[in-house]
Amino acid sequence: MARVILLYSRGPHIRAALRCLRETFPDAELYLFAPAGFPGEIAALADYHVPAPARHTPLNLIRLLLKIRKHRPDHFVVMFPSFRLTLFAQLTGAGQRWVLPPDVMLRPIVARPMNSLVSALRNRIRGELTYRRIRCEIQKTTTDKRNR
Amino acid sequence: MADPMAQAQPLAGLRLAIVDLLFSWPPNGGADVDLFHVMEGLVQAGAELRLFVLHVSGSWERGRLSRPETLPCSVHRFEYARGDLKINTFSADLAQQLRAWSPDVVFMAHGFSLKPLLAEHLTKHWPILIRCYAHEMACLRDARRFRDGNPCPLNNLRNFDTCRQCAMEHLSLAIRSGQWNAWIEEFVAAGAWREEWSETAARGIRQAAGLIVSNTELAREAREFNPEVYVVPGGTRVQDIRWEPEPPEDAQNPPMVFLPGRCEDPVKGLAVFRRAATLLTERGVQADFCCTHPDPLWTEPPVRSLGWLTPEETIRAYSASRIVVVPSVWHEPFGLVAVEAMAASRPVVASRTGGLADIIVDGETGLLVPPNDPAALADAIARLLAEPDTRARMGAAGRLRAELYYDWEAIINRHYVPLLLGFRAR
Repeated sequence: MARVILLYSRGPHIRAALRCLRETFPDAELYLFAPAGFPGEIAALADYHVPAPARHTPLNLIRLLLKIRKHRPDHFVVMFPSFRLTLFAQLTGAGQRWVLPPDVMLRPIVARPMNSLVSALRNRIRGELTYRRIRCEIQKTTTDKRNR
Repeated sequence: MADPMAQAQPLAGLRLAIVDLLFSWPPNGGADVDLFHVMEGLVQAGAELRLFVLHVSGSWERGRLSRPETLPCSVHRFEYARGDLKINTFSADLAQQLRAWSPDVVFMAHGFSLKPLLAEHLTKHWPILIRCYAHEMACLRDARRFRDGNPCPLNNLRNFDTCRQCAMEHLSLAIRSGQWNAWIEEFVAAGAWREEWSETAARGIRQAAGLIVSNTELAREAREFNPEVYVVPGGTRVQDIRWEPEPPEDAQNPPMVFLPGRCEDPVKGLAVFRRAATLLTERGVQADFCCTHPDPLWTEPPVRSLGWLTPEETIRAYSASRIVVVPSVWHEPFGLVAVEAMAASRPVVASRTGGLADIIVDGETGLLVPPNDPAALADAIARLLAEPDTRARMGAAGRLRAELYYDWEAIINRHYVPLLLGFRAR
């Protein structure tokens, strides 16, 4: 029986995500990794609720990763396509990694960790340069106006 | 005798191009649903429609069309790589597609900083109607126009220098991170920090054939920039919301007071609701105070969260409740949840602000209270909890008002058809 793990990460679409996974993998064992104290009515949509740390410190993340790897998932699903979650998914050792964002459309994670890292760095540099250009332009036009 | 075909399809012969910079289907938010119903109604009224949408690779906020066959008209999607979205290129591409289709009028639906610039470029060739969904035309910071816990009175077309400084304070971290959401993507693509943007945007708004806003308060302000302003509310399919009697009350099931919607957003007034609920609990009023906070782990007694609900689950929650509260602290552009609650025959206690003040008739379909006033909100809730007859009367009046004014068919016939008929005649 296939093993599907969904990692909860403050997505408003948690109910819809669990229902979607149940429909997509009707015969699979569905694990929800979510903080302890997670509402039972939602956790009941999965077969198993495995407590996960509420705060994602580096140490907690390593512990969580080891716990997930121990479960040997066939499918690992995250709720947002962020760089961190994508990278985390790559490290779980799952046969297939998926992202299930708020539009509740299950998509495979195709990015490689190195590509994701390069893309994140490129975005960061582009962001920094854009910010400086804007600041500079605003400062210049404000000073020009004062001088007029 | 009037031609029955002309009566059934008053917009036959009209070609309407709809440009939406944020549209996705299945929908991402209320504006997508709103546009879907408008398109559906206009097609039924005989208009020929084509939808033009924008997609930027890697963005899930705009232009995702996984089921376009369920839309009432054909769609053209403009594709750009991340970082390649530029106003001049997009504007030229859009104009080329529009020229090829030759519409009678262009309806600019959702969009942010790019919207008024596109309107300015296109207005030389076609009459343009601009739909404003929130405060996106007045604020550079975000569409809520909310600052330091209060609605902001400034308008970027009037107070450009202050507004761009405020926007930069608010957006700088996100811009620098390089992880741009749709708002920042348009802010950068449009060069919305430049004075040319402000001048061109003002010209685009001024030269438009009309502005469509959701409430009378917004209309008053918009007339300063263009005299042709139309107040067109949003709506719901009232017939799809079944009237259910109030659930029985006992010690196990205290009456439910329900705050629906995106209540995790501070502008929606969850903090005010919580203070009001605390006041009522201290007075010994027994009630189940619920909201739809999306984080299932969220809890701030005496308010509890039902979590994020699907539209069907939300309708069931209205039926399970006695009173629906909408304590918004911003200038709520419309307030769809108030309309849905009225359609479900529930009295609404809401802030006297923006669209809510238009939707709710104070004392008839609910009670209006000053925004950000927990004591007044608590008093209004307590009054309705104590008066079942008033609740029943208000619920019935609310249902009737929703059917008459906020059902999609009524909105299309009352607002959109008369507005667009003028363009067919040109």
